[in-house]
This record gives sequence, structure tokens and C-alpha cells, in this order.
Amino acid sequence: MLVVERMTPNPVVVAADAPVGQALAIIEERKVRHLPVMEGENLVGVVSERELLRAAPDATVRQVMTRQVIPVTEYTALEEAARIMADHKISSLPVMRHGRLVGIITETDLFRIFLELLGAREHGVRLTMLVPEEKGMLANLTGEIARLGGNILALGTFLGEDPTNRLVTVKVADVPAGKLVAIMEALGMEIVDVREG
Amino acid sequence: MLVRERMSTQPVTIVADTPITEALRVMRQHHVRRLPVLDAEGQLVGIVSEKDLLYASPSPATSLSIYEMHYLLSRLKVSEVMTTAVITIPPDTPLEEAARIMADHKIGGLPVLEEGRLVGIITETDVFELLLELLGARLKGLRLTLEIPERKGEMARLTTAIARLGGDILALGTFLGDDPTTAVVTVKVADVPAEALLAAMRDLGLEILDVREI
Repeated sequence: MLVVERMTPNPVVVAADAPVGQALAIIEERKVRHLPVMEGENLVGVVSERELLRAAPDATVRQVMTRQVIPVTEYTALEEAARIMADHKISSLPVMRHGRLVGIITETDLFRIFLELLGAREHGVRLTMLVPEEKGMLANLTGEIARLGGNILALGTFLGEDPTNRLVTVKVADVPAGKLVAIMEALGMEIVDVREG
Repeated sequence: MLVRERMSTQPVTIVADTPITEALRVMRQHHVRRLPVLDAEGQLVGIVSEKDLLYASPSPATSLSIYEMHYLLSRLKVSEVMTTAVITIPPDTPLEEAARIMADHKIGGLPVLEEGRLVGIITETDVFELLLELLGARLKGLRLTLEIPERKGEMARLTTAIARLGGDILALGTFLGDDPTTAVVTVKVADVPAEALLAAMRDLGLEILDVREI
């Protein structure tokens, strides 16, 4: 998944010299939380709803915007964009192509991906287990589910309790929960949680 | 992965009749953007976000003097601007369910209640950190994005082929595809040369959407 697949293209922008009140009006009307700040054709900063709300009444956007923007390109991996946001504690990144603004990607865009990743909107048996950190374990796991005739709706891997294991959450359709748990236990997985969702 | 494992326990709270200026100070001191609101008995009666408090402040276009503004703000209580219809969840809620609730209701955090008692809070930021883990954003390896048919056994074929090459799967995530017949899988693999991995994927008939070393 790349930034281009989830960014908002041609984002609504604000001029650096605009008064704070005008920027807030744009934010309210367009229902966005961040505005790239432009000086002519050039990106000079990003301003958030929060920065605008905290601003003095007579300030301009330039006075309250964040100047140190970290740009990404359309071909930046989504998790790389997420990592930049988390590490710098920022909630949006402008997307640039040859020095020109072509989009914006926000924490909210990335948040929706999380729902997909763990199949939050699909129904099935949801199993969380500790899997020994050995090559081939994920293949064993998915192989057994396939053998049972199960359909894997979603699968996500997390860091485990220590470096010797990993936490895997999988959502499966078309297999009864009891059967699934028995097979996983037989494979040496430690079942952490089972539920139908 | 359940909410219990990633929530902040013992969240900073505030009492309903606190002035909003004090609530803003508490938020800044603790670097949080929302506070569960308790009544005198310690029961949860609402939640207030920094944005609720900032929007309660006079607008930039106000004609009030700075003294009048301060006076007004010091009189305004958290109870007057908080959200009282609070959506709460129990600690054993799956994290993706908590994320779905936040996305569907456009809210940034959920108080966690156990037997009527506030035991924690889970926020968008907590979920976000998990997303990084899910896609192995902090691990190094070969990152492959593939389109796979939405069919039983496809994931098994994929992971088995990687295992056969001696590859170690560092992270794996499934996304919805362009239509219901396909899914998009991003997988991060260590210990396999890129060419060997790509050849194996092509042998499986999978469409390779993107390859990169990270």
C-alpha cells in the first residue's frame, strides 16, 4: 500500500497571509483538520485546526503554522508515512511531486487502513495466538486453515511478549471455532483469545 | 490484541464543575487531548476534548476585551461543554472493534469501563502505534505488495512459498482489493534475495504491485 492509494489529492489549501479566522472558516466548511499553507505556488507550511484555535484573534496563518513540514511522495509506503507521523508526533504530511503539492495524507486516512487490516467490518472467527518465532510457522498456520476449508479474511502479525514469539490475529470464515482452536493448539500455538465477530 | 493490552491505565480525569481554563491547563501539563469527566462520586459522566474547550473559547472575531474573555472563561465549567453521551467499551474489546467505533463515530478516544468503573482510555494514537507494528514499519527487510485472489488457501500458498525459500516473514497485513475477488497483501520478509522471492511469487501467479527494500 502506497501513499497515493489513500491520500486526498488536490487538497484544499490556505494562503500564508490569510487571517486565522478565514482558515478556520475553510476548515469548518470543508470538514478537514489540516491545511497546507501556500505562498503562491510554493508550500511553506501546514496548519492544523488545533493551532488555529489556539491562535490570537488577530494572527495570520503564517504566524501559527508549522514551518518544518516533512514531505512524502506518492510512492512512499503507507507504514513509512505512519512511522514519520508517529516519530515526529504530527498528524498530517503533505504529498509532493517534483516540488509541487499534489496531496495530503492524515492520521485518519491511516486509521481506516487498520480497520481493513484486521477485518473489523467482516464476520468470522477471530483468533489471537502466540506463535513461536520460527521460519515457516506462518505457513503452517495458514496451511492448516486452508486444509480445514477455512477462508482467511484478515491476518495481522504483532510483536510478541518477547523475541521468541509473535502475536498473530487471524479472522477466518467457514470453520467452526472449536475445530480451529484444536488444530492451532496441535500446531503448538498458544491461544490468547477466541471470539466470533 | 485486546484494548486491555494497549490502553492507558489510570487516565488523567477531571471533575465536572472544573473551570475550562483549569481543564486546558491539566491537558497541557499531562500532554493529553481528552479527559474523562467524573462526578463527585467518581462516576463517569462525560468526556471533554481539547477541541471542545478551545471551541468554547470566544471566537477570534469577538469584541470582548481580554479581561472580559478571561472572566467568562473562568466562569465556564467543563460540564457545560463536555460530551455526555459517552461511548465506552469494556477492556476485553478487540482493538480493531475499538478502532471501528472511533472511525464510525468520528471520535478520537474511548473511556474503558469495567463493572462501571473507569479503568483506562484508548485513543487513536494507541491504535496508530499498532498499525506500525502490524506492517513492521520499524523492521528491516524486503517489502512486497501483492494482489492475491480472494480464495481459500491463497494465503497458505503464499506463506508456504516464502517458508520454502527459507524466508522469515517479519510482518504481514491483508487489505481489501480493488473488487471483492481480490485482496492486497503487504508482506515484509528477511533472509531471501529479492529475485528469488519475486520469481516464486510469479510462479504462484500472483500480481506484484510493489517491491522495495526498507
